[in-house]
Amino acid sequence: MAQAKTIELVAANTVATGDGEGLKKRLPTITMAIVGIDVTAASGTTPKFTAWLQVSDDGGTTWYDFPADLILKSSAIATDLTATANARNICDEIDETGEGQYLAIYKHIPSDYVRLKRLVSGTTPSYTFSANLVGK
Amino acid sequence: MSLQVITAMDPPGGEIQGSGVSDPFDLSLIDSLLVLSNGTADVGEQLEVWLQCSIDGRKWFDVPADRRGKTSAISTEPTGAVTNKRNVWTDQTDSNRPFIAIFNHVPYDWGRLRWVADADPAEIKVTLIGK
Repeated sequence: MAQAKTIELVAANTVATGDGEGLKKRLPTITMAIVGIDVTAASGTTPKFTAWLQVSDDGGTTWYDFPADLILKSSAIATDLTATANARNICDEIDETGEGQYLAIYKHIPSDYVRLKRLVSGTTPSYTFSANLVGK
Repeated sequence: MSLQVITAMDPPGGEIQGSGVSDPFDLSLIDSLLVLSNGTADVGEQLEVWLQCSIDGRKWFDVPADRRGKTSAISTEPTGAVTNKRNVWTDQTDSNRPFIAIFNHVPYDWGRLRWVADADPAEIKVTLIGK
């Protein structure tokens, strides 16, 4: 039993206009985790933003896409929402209306290194976001 | 590993209306969690309650449960057990049936409840039990 540790994958107010990766971070003691992505601004012409977690087995040379157990976007609507199970993309091709909080749950994450991978497309796309991993 | 019991929602007077959030509660000593919701929302009332967790103490994210069931006295296998749903309490056509929501993994330290109810007062108490 341990208190959760928070690891910054992408700093607050990061502006993404193209593909890229977040910071490479080590998870020496974390065995289960959530990743929260907070998209605070989105713009462009037919823009798309996709982000997911990757893990490495060799210190960050080779990266593998890591599927989440559950993914859910926060919403205030009074509906019995269903989370997406066993999917890779935490943000799944969200457009200019995609501001919000996205949560992915990783029930077991026996990896050492992780990072957040993103793809951005469209005409003059811009996404302001942050990403944090919290785990025990 | 000791049992933790948290009364997360027990409004004074027993009634809630509209939308709101509970006070945050500490889940740092909990790895798996049951959310037990017992209320008397009448048929036709809208009441949705769900768990949120905090990444940094400021931003809150909706958390889906692994499974949610509903207590029933009938002998046949009850319907309504569902997986990966957000709400720990949801609109129901029959009243006074407690819900149980199971969160197998709790990697975060802080949680709170968020709810949306209509104008008719609903009575509900939500307790969290975890280890």
